[in-house]
Amino acid sequence: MFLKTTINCHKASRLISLSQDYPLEFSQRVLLKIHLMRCAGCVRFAQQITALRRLLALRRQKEETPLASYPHSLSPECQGRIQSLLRKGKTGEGLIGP
Amino acid sequence: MPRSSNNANQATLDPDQWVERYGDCLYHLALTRLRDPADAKHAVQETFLAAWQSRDSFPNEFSESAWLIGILKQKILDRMRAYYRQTPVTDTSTGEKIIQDFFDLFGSPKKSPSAWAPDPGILLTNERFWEVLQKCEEKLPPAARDAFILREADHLSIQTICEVLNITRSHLYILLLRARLQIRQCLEINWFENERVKACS
Repeated sequence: MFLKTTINCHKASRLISLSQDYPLEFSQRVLLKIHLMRCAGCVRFAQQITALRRLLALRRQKEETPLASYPHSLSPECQGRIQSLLRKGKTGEGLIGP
Repeated sequence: MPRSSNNANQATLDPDQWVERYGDCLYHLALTRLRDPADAKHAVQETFLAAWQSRDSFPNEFSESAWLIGILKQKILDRMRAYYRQTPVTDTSTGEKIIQDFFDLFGSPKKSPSAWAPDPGILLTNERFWEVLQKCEEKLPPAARDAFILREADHLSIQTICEVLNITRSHLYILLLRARLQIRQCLEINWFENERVKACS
């Protein structure tokens, strides 16, 4: 019986991407491992999309740390509207969404 | 719960200062995720109102800003959910075609990834890098971009992302592969190779 032991870079890229989101099956892991042993390009692809995930997590931390100023800010009118909605809530006049 | 402990919780919150202190931070985050200013403003307003209504259940182990950001993220997901219910993403063929275009007839990449590895410590404070990354993300269609960010930045589960984007698992895998291929290459061309050229000249 002929057993398929090679995959091309296209198929390998799909498996590499999938492995970021889902545990690969045993046969998929073997096929990918064999491919990665002789393909420097796909090894780099795998390393770089893993690095991409770390960068995105880093950006998220950046975004979630309040800064002194932002390129886009809420207009004073918008701030005022939210403030007054909050105030209404506090005095028990009832809160109504937008 | 004894009443005194509720009061103790409230003592750590300062709602009068919320809008001034966190308004812009929340708006900035909402805008980067939702892209539409009106949508982002609504999400921020909903966040403050929801926070006010649930101030009694403020968990002490969170900071005020982390708690508000957590609520905002839920509001952002609600808005995305509503958007993708109304405008379902049905087309998988374009994504497939773009993925296939990265490879030749034999399944080899038309351009093999070059050798680079980002140094997060150096990139962290380099605002130009984050601009380039954002530009690369903007080249993707909304669903692929949202899928990529929800997965890689927020680490949401595949199941949750499928539910928010209103798509199947296999469709999500196509969106994610497409996003990874395109963003990786875009960063390579516009940042990592570009910087090297500058460094050599």
